[in-house]
Amino acid sequence: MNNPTLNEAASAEPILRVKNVKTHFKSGVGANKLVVKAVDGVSFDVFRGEIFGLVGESGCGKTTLGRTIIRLYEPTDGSVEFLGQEVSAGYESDHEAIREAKKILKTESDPEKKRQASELIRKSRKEIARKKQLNKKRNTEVMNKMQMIFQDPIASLDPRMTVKEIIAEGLRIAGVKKEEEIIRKVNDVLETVGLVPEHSNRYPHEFSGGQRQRIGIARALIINPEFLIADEPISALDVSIQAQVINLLNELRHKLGISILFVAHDLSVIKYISDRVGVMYFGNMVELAPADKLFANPLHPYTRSLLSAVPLPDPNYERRRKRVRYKPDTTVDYVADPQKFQEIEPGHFVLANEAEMKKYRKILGQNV
Amino acid sequence: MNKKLTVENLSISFRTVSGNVQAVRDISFDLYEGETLAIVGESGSGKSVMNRTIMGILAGNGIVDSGKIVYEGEDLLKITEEQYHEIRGSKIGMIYQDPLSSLNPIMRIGKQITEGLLLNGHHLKNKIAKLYNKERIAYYEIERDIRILKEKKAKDPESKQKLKDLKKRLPEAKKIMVAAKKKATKIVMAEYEKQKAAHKIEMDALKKNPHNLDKEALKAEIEAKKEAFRRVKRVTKMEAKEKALKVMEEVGIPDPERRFKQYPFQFSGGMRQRIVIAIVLTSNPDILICDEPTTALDVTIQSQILELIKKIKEERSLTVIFITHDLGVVANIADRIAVMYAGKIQEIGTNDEIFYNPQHPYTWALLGSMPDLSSHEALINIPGTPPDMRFPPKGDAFALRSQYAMKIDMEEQPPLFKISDTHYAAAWHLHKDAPPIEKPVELQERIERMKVLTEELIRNEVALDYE
Repeated sequence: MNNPTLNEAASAEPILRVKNVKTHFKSGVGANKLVVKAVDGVSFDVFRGEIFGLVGESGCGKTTLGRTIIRLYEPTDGSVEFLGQEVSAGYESDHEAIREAKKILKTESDPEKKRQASELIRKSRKEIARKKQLNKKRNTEVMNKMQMIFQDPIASLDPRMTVKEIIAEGLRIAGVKKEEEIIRKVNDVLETVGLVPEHSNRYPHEFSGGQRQRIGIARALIINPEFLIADEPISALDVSIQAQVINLLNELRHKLGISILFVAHDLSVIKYISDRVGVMYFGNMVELAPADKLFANPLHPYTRSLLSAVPLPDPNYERRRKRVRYKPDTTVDYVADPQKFQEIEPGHFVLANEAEMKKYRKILGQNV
Repeated sequence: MNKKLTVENLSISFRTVSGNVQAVRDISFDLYEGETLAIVGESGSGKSVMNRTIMGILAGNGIVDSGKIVYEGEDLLKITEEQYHEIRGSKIGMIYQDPLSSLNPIMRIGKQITEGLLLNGHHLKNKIAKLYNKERIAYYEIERDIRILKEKKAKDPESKQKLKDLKKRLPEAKKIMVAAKKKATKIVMAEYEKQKAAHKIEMDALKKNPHNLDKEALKAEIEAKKEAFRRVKRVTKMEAKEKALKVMEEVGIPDPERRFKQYPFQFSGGMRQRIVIAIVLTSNPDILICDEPTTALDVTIQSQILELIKKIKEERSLTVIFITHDLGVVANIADRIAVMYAGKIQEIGTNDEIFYNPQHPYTWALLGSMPDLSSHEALINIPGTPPDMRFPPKGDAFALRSQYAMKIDMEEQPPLFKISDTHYAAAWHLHKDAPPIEKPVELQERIERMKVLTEELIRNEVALDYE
């Protein structure tokens, strides 16, 4: 897959750049070897101050991608750049290059080609060593600017720590020792998320679901991050509470200028909150576009199927809604005409081969 | 329409260390035959508690303070556990929220589906039970009454006398029951023996090979005859499997033969929910209670399960109670909707009435707090949290979180005001003396927006037809 520059407006500067990231989970050896390709080559940028929505059904790799970005998993291949610096990288492709080069060394007799191959091996080995070093070392200063909010507000808070301890933990790890400063900062951040300083000495079980999620957000905000990964922050909450958390995240973006990667499977929420939306299917990104464009002109059949499955709170609409089933087209020969993630109109990317592109262009031409 | 189930003034509370939690407060509604009633509310609004009470599986510390649940002329709260066995599962079935935890992880799917069939499949035993049912229930009713009186520990002479009388009647009732059982057994067994003899004669005849079949065919025929006779006595494993495979096919599990032998972990979330539905369907219930069956699933799978529930409802003419907090799902599946908050029904009406003409502030807030595919303005925040039901508020439970609250809301609970024959809401502003209030504009805007969307949908359909 090629790596498109998703920079629609030249002025907007990407805060996060995900380049062809793959995360594979391997288990077993020999005949039992099993590789699960959770994320298989995803590229996108997140710009400063925007909310990037990531949707897909369960098991499509959206959570794995989020965790890979924040370095909870090591990428198998590709790289993640954050604030202009490479923070982690995978080296599967380098290993591949070495294997190829070794084959050439064995079979070829042309000395020039042999020289090139050994040069390539040397280079790839160097690259692997560099990436290993990169993945081992923790660039605290940069990585502190990236924080995560978890799905389950009950499971993600330690029941034996008070709210103050939970929120201040990140600060202490970051090296703040003065008690007054910690208390001041904790109180500040509690106010930002709509709680009061009196709450700081209570335990998580004393709070409702929405308040617990606020604590989770406060914990992420305490060290002034520039980028938040929100991994399904509302799917464990009640409807009336969901609105509170969505409004809070929206407010934070406007007030603090934080960029957010919002992972969810609820399309109405994604549409409401995000500026741009990426749709994932089986470890690949199949479509990426500004939210309005994506929902007005969904191109990829999977996006269409996903959109047609959203139940909306309106009986007349629901009586007429028909779900479109997504069946991957098996008649298309993807070997002869491989799929690429390409731009079809400004800012709108779709995974398609040339024949499909023609079809999509026609659809767009009709609709525009 | 026929009433299938009637709930009258039902109140349920739970005894806890820190006081009685009043989970359900004075709920009344009717369930009509063939309809889908959706019950909407936040967690803790008492919707699950109510349905567990209907199923007779209330937790040990739950007490039914008052009320009636009438099903087929009988009050489900008064009948004995023995009678409940005939209703629970076979008349009223239930699908739970989490399909993973409602299946046994170390038992094959096939066994789990056929379990109920096999356990309830002793035809002879069932026949006997049916024959002496009246005497059996008479005995257990006396036993239950004694238990209730003992639990009450009443000291007044009247109840003491009653207890004494009941205790006196108990051995007699037992004697009658045993005698009736013996009689019933005799009748059923005599009939069975007759059938057995007839079967033996048939078998002997068959063994002589009257039709001149070859060896293999004869063997198969004998085996078939034997199996048919076994089925007179009880549901055999083969019969149960046949039924299970049929049901599995009905709920849309591909390749049921192979799936029959697999374990729950080999199924995806949607497939697991289908299995749970299949288990419920094996015993042919006529009321199906679905307790948030799609909350744990994602949109596409949710859509499939909703379609499935609608399909089996049509095919088997089921009556469905559907609990959820997702209004999109409700709009899709419900005929009527009851909105619950703090253990009370706040508004009840048909699908259209609730979505296009909601009257209760809580319904407004619920509808406004949910983003749809075209909302851009800030969502309606419901401030605060639901009340602590150990100390339920004196007046309207939603008053503290509502901007429309009036003085009377704090003092007195509103009754259900009638808006139309099918539409009722418990809000004081519907009283004829109350000052008129403005509904939030967002609601009307949403309805307008959705109208446009619906029209677009119809247009697209037409366009698709042309293609």
